Amino acid sequence: MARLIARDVRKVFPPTRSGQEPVHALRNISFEAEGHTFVTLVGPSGCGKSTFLNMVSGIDQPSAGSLQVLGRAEGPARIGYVFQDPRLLPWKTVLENMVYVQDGGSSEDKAAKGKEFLDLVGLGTSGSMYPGQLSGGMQQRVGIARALSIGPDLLLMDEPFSHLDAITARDLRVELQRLWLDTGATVLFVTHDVMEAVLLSSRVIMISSQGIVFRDLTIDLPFPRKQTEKEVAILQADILQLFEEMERPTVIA
Amino acid sequence: MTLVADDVIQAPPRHWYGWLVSDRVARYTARVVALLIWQWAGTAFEEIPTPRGTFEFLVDEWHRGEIISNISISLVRAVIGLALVLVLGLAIGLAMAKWWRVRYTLTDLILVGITLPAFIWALLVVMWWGFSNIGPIVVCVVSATPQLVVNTFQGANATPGPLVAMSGAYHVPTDRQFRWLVIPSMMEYIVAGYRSAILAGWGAVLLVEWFGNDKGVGFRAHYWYDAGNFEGVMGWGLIMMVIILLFDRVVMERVVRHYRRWRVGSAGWSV
Amino acid sequence: MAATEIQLEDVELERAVASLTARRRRGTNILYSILGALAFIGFWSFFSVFVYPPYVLPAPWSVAERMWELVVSGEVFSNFLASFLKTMLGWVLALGLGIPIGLLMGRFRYAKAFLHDFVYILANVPLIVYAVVALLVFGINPFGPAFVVMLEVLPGVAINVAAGVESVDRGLLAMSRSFRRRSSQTARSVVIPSIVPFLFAGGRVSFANSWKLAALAETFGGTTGVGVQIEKSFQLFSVVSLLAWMFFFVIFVIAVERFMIAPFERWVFRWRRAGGADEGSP
Repeated sequence: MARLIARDVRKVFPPTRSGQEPVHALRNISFEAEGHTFVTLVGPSGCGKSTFLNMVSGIDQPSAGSLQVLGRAEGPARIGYVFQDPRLLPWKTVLENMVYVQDGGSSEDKAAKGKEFLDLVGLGTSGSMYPGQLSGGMQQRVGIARALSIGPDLLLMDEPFSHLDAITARDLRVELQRLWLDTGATVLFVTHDVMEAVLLSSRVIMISSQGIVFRDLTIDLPFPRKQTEKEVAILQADILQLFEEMERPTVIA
Repeated sequence: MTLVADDVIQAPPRHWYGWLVSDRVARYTARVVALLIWQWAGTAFEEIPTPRGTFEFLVDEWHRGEIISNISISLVRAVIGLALVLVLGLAIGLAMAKWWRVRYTLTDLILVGITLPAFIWALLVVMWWGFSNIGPIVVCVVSATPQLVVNTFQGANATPGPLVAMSGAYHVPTDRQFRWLVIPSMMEYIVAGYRSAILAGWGAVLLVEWFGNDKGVGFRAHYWYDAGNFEGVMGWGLIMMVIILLFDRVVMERVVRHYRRWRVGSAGWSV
Repeated sequence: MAATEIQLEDVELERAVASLTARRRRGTNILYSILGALAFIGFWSFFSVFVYPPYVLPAPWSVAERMWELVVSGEVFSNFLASFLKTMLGWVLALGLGIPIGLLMGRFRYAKAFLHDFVYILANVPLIVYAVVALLVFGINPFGPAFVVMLEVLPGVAINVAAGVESVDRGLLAMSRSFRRRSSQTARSVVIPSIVPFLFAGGRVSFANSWKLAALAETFGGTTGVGVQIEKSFQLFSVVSLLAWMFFFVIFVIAVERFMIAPFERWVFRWRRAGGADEGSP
């Protein structure tokens, strides 16, 4: 479990060529999250959600503001990252991919741990196959298993199901919900799919196209949730309405 | 539901001569035709040796004990040279990829190395070292290394970005990233570069031997040319060809297949 | 890209070289290039003055002097011209033979299998073998080098044309047929434009190589040309002359590349830039 504190986080990309404007990816992101929560950042494409994740994971730095991620015992947190594309080393077997990200312990320990988490996502028998032999959904499951296998305090997920077909995505969402409930990690999830956000999260943070937090909603529905529940659809519609109001200019009476 | 077998998907040849036009047979037919054309050319033109004459020559040469000894000398020189090429080529290529100062300092030199033909080096080296083993090895290294350097450089810069980002996100230690990510992603380039280098290096050794040496395949070919024995020249020319082609088919293709074995599901990827 | 099993090292090499010379940073990189060149001349001067006698390793300025002599006497021009013409002849022959072969290979599966070994062997044979064969077949003859260049360029042309034919957009062909165009029109408007980029991919690369080969063949059995001059320097044991011709060689290749090939390529592909269509090179 982790504690994430974001205060006035901004990100500006300098122009790559002269004459271009600098790109404001994020203008102001402020929120806090901790404990066994599933926080989703929702917003239109280009609003900077993935950029924010990159900053949380340390791949990138904020241009202004502060971003703190604390793990247990207030030290630096262990972070697992699941990307939109599986990002597996194609020339290594699935099990080797699991071992690649682990530190500490002998190679037998690492292999055993890898196998343990592959079992968790139902791919225990695929350890010796190459990623090229697996379907997109299976590869993504390996990606999730890999992220979980390091025992993360914080799990970052960047639109992990957006490249999958609807059926596989639905199955994986169910699996993800189960895994989150069982392992108790803090999850920071990014998506543009509002239904997905409502289904999976305990908290939804809406980000405008300007890169500002514009709503911070708590979702009270009990877990585990099903995509077919009425309440999910209602909340989805409400949130979409909020997005529309945000984008619509103020009407002059 | 029954599974459809592979040979049903490719419609079987409809006529008895379908077999005759299959790929495999086509290739063998080509070889036979080539041999026949050679035979015709040899009998029709005086300067061109016939297959039979060449074959007889090679048998005589074998009895003279010249075949094995010369081939081994040339091979030893090539192997030493190419081993140096491998080490130098990889080292320089990686250094140029890693440090831009090294890159710009050496780029022009490498380009000149690629542009200059081996035979110029060969002549220089004969003037400098005369009949020796050093000459062939030096020219081999000088003509083949730039090819490997350039391909290694390209490969080192082509490490897939997303995988590097992933490794960064998981804080994978640098040496593991190098061994598991950088080197394997470079293999395609390294092998292509080394294959190019081997071809150039073998040619270089032969050239030096032709122009000024007292041993080796190249020397032997020149010897028979001076003696006016065209079957001899053709025979040794064939040996030059056969060695490199054999190596390519037997060794290189195995290497390529080995490091490409992870590409099982990606049928559309051709290099 | 259409799959052809024969690997062309030249094409890979060209791409690799392109990546090395791409994206130069301004300013300091030129400094380092100059530094590299100066260091090279520095080492050379040192060894030529203090270590080796002048007939073994002449000083850079002696070589420069010899180079000047050769320019002034017109030998440089006439010899490079001779070699250039032979190379061009070889190229024309290679295109004349290679394009039909490539078309056959691309169009007919049997042709592809039949000619596969032939093309593969041509592509993978060391240059010296070509030179020796040309020597055998043509003796001391200006045609030898041209023949040798033809042999070397042929596989590249054939393979690339074959790849081009295989990659012709079936949709465009079908459209062409549905409008009842005659096959010659189809060939002209659909097939040939698809092939040209592939042709260039193969052709561009081989220039440097074919040039080297012409010179080599001249060394073996030529009457005029750069190779012959180099051979003469060798016979006379003149390291100075050899080095002089060596530098001219490099200068020439770079000059032709920069002033002839690149503009030609730009001209051939002007339609692409005008149209803005990004077909991308193979």
